[in-house]
Amino acid sequence: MQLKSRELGDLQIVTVEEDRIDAAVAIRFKDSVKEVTATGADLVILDLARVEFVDSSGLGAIVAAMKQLGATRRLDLASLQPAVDRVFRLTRMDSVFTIHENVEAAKAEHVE
Amino acid sequence: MKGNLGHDPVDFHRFRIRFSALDLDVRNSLGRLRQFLKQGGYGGETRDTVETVLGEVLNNVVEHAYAGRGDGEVDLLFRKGPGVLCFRVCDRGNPMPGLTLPKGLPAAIEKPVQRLPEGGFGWFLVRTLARDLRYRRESDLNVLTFTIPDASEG
Repeated sequence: MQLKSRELGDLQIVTVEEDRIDAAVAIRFKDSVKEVTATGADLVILDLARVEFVDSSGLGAIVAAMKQLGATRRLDLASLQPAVDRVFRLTRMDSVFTIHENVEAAKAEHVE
Repeated sequence: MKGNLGHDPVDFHRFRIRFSALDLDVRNSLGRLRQFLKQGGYGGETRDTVETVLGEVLNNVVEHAYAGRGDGEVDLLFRKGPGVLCFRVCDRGNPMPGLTLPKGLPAAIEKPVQRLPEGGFGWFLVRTLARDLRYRRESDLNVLTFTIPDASEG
């Protein structure tokens, strides 16, 4: 599970460098996010620009990743492709996560 | 995975593939079906819907019907119908509990973050996106059939 991370102050951008978060990799995804976010940034933006497909296992792993951060930190999502966005909408998980158009929009909002 | 393409070079109305119930074989088979549908001119939204529904159905076969035993075979058949894509998935794994399909009710998500569910979304997605969903058990065979509306048509 390839993730790229960069930190900007108290903000961390974690970019998923895979095109699927599915049953085959859900556990690895969860563990990798936990590891890369151990630095403790208050707001983590998960950049899903490359991700074309998320199934129910992938959705569960993204929820788990958010829970892993703990009550005082936040996991937002950015750059959802249409198929991924639809899974979040249908399950109403788009009301649970803050979803940004892209990472730039997420950064801009955080500064305000 | 058996490299059985099962389609006439110019006929994009039928596709059949048999593969073992392992996550990577499922992924590869979904990829081949997706490629086939793309070449056949089926639209992006239709292809996404097929992948979402079939992905959940096949994951269920791997995790529950075959309960993680990688030696089980899955038989996937696609046929084009009027305005729909028809699918049949067969396996020789455990029967569905109660010989019925899960209800696939929406997961309860109006909860504090730490109590959010991490599962229970799969059958809901299947029931929301697929039509004519039917399950039957024929001796030692599970047979699941469903249709996906062809968004490319009208």
